[in-house]
Amino acid sequence: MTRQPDGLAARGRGAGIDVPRYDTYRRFRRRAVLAGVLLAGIAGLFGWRLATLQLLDPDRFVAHGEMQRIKTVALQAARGAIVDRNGVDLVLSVPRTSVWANPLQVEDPVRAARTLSGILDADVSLLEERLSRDSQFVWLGRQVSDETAAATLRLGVVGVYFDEERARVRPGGDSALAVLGRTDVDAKGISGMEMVYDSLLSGTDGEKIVERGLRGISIPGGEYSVEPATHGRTLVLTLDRALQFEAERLLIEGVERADAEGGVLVAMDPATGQILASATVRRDEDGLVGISSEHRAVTWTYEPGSIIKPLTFSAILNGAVAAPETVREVPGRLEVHDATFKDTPAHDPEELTVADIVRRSSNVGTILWAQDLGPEALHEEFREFGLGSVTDLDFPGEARGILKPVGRWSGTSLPTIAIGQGVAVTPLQMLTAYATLANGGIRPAPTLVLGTRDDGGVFSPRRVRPSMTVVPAAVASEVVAMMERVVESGTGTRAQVTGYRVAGKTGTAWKPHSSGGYGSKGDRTYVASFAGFLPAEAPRLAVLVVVDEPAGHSYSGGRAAAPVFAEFARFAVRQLRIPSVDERVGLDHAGRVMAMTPARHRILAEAAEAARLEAAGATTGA
Amino acid sequence: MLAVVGFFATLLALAAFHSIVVSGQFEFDRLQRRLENGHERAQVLRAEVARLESPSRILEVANGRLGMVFPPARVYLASVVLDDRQTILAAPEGDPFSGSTR
Repeated sequence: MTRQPDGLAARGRGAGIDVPRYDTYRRFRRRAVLAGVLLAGIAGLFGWRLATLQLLDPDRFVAHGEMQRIKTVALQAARGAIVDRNGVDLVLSVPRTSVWANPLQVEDPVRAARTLSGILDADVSLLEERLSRDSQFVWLGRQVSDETAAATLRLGVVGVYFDEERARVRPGGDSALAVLGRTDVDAKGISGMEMVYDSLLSGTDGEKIVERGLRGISIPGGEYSVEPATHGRTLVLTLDRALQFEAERLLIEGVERADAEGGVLVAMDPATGQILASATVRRDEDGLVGISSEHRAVTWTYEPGSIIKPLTFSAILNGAVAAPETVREVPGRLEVHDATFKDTPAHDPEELTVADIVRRSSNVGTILWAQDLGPEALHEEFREFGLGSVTDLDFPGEARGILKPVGRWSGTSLPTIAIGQGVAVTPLQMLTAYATLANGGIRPAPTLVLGTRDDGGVFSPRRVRPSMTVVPAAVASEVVAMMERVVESGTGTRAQVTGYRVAGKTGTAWKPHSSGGYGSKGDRTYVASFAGFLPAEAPRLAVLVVVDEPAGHSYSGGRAAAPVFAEFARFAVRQLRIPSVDERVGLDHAGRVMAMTPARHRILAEAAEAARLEAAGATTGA
Repeated sequence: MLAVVGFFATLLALAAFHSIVVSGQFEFDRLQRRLENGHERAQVLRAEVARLESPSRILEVANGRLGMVFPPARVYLASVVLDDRQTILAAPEGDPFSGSTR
């Protein structure tokens, strides 16, 4: 018996209905309902999730989305360059690649360290230690060369990454290193001008906020704001690169020639106090003389010796104790308390003018006049010249020098200090004192900085420090005239520069031993120096050369330092376009003849001949 | 019918406009990257020029590759010599410019 469904019988559709098809239909309906419920459930879940996202806690998800899209990019401020007075780059920043690693991603630190050490030129154990740290960031190499970065990239070590940084470079090598100074690897100034002007050179970092999609492409119309970086200012120094280089080269030659331990050469414009070159060289442990990283022109103090005598006589003339042509008898030796002072070479008592005393660098004559002047006046004048106090240079580590107050002077202090012993100065102090004489008695404020330039090239000059009158112009002029004779026919003849009047003074100071005292003859060491300026009638260049511990027979200032002065001055007058005596006469001067090479003379002669022929032809034609 | 066409035309125009904006943004990004790279390249070249011009490098090349030596003494020529009719200065021996001025 076939079982009939009740429903169908009730609907009266008859007995012809296929039973299997009915089962299929029922199953389908059941599944459809199930699927409907399932879909409704899923839709409900989506709806619930949507409501959660949009209504219950929307801010968190908005923030999450923004975090993914909106990127803040740091705009690194470029550190300003340092340039010389002519705009030549002395120090500047260039992009360099640094290599870092995420140790947690490095699979085999030992192997990676071995692979990388050869390319990065780093110790294997150091790299291994860094790559084994429980950290997500370690530096492997800072500011490596492009070749090294490319080679490291080619290795393809997993977990090693690259960043771009800015490295400080000095295109001129070690030239002027002591003045320019250094920065650390994070470009922070740690010495020299880099340190003094760090805040100006550094600038201020900026940032860019940008909304980015996949692959880092900016989303149009999205968030975008830029706070530009303020780049560091360019520092314009008073140095002249060519003069600086030549100063270093000539000083190295001079120190080697004198078999000395080191030397300092400083050149200044006496009217403005601008330092044009400042070179320091030292002999290293291997006996090689090279550029020093210590700016000894301002950090080193030494007993200047006889180059202090023009300052002593400035005080004497300023105090109206004597005039340049005042004569007095000067013995060959002089006893003061327990000390004996002698002239070199020895001489019998003789009548000498003040100018002769300066020209011959007589110790005894200088002491006699200084005693007439008195200690207070001498001390006061030296203070006015800037001895015993730091200059206006604002250079780190600048020394004050030693000039004891008169109350602490002993019985031999006056004669000793008057001839430049028992007083210590920095080379810059001494040069500034000479610049004062060259500048008509007005002491300039030494400076290494002309000003700064912003990113747009707008120049802001450095505030000029006030000058100070030390001696009247007439006194300065008289002292300069005496110093000219030193170079013409005195101890400084090797400082002569053809075509220019040079004023200067030599110094050969005894160097104090570390155990005290100056030692005895044969055991002494010296500091040889020459300071001078030119043209003497209108000085534009003042130069001090100091040679530390010259050996052999050429230990005097006239032999060890004056030739370096002359060689430097010959170059400098051309570099600075300082005309010679002849070049300064008017064009209408009858005797003015332009010097020329034969080729140039031939050209001019031919031109003159052509003009003559043309004139003759014109006359004939007329 | 016209409204439907207008609707789709507007959609098309908006899509085209968006495409232009996106490509503009892409170009802007590219130019900005190029500008930054250019600045960096300029800085590298500036450093290279300064290095090539530096006296120490010139001296190194002169002494090394070119085999030049410093003369034992330098002679500076005065451009003006007063009351001296003998001012036609001899050109240095081997001066490449002395015979090529015609």
